[in-house]
Amino acid sequence: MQPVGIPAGPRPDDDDEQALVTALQRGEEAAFAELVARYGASLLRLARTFVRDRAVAEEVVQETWLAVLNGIDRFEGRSSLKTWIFQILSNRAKTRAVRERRSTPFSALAGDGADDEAAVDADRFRDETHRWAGHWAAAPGDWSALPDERLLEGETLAQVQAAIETLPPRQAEVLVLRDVEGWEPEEVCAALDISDGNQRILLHRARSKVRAALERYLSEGATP
Amino acid sequence: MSRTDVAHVTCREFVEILTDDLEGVLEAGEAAEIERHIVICRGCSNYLEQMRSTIDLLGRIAADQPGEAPTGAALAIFRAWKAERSA
Amino acid sequence: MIAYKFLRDGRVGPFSGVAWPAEGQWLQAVGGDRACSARVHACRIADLPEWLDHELWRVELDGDVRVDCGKLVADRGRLVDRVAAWDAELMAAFAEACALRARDAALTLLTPGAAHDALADCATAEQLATAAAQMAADDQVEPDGARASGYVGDAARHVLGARAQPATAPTHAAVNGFIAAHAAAFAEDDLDAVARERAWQADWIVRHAHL
Repeated sequence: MQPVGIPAGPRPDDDDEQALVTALQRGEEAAFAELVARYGASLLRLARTFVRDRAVAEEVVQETWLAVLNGIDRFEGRSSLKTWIFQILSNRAKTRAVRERRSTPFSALAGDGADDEAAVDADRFRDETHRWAGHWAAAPGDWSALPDERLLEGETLAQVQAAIETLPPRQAEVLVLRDVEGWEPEEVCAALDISDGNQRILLHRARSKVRAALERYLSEGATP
Repeated sequence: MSRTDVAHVTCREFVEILTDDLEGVLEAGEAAEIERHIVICRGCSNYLEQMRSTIDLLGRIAADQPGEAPTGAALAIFRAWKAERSA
Repeated sequence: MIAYKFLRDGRVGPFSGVAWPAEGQWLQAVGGDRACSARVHACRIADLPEWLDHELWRVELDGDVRVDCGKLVADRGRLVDRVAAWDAELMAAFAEACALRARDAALTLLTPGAAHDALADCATAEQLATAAAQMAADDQVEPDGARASGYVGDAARHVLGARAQPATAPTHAAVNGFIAAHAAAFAEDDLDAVARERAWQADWIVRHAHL
């Protein structure tokens, strides 16, 4: 269950991060191994929201580690280490995505999909002429009525991952950091340099799309 | 002249405002209206549970792919960087 | 102070999903995935119709108790005892009482005649469903009357749904309370009719659940 965001304050891992930075600056391999263990898988997941090819995503992650190492002496701790690393990755992944033609240089400007996209198709609701305009015409089903294993089986999880890959990059970014990686809203805003409101809109659109994809998958072959 | 139509949260509005509700940014009055709607609407109650399941599944992705030791390539990068520093 | 609390099957909070402890044990409000989960919520008599659910309990509230947006909020609460009379059958009866109220509202919008009389003669949800369906097919019925009888048909279906599937009775009962309030405001063309209708509903619950 997602925790409610807490206001920004002293970061709980400040001392821990400072120790890591210092150890890295001293060239300690164990510190680097710690960073990779902590963030490696997450970085790869985030890279893959921009570049589909796993090999290319791994290259982006390697480039990120190199940039982190090359910049570690200049790291001042104005942002958290985690935020800084993910900013580097995000920038590199976007640049690489342009080169790989997954997106154009204007994708970021074009925004995150249609500005008026709705969380649920309008045809699922009663239209304005109905006495219950705006209410469900075709209501969502009760997933707790599904066999237990259905929601938890590997194929369902794979469908969720596939849905993430179809999201516009800006929506995918926020969804992955918030709901997959478990970042706080403030951390995401800092890493992506967006407002809280903007972060929430992107999260809303992304979650709505993934839920819809999951609903389509789970209702395949269901008895009406 | 049309008759009094009691203003209330519709399902269409519910699905758009749900993220704000889960994020805890609604005013108390708005959050109470959301709850009142859930009480009378199985569809939206189901939608809320579907959204919670979706978020839960997203959270399981990371568990599916836990952290690893550095790859040979990552270690090579580190060692080359360290060697250059000492030079 | 003593108040009332609706819970889902198994003493579960309807929005927090938190299971309440056994009678007499205090529940301290804890956080959940929604901001207002951090307080314990309960009902005054007047609030009851809007929060219907499977189980109705008398609760004791403690700490800073306030009224907020149509409910009581407190730091902690404990279950005192369960209102045994509040069960699926009573919920269906409530739903039917509300459907008949919606019918009363619709009558004020129908000119005297066959359609009016057919609706006036109804005493049960089945009869209401039939009369409303006939009216829906009758294009002689005036628009406002037609709409109001649409509400009656909806409410009748919810009564039948509550009886057919008792596990779903709470939602059917709750929505019929909403429909009746909506129908009253529509028929009287007066938003204040909502509060009057809800007061009637609260009184119905007090009498029939022996609160």
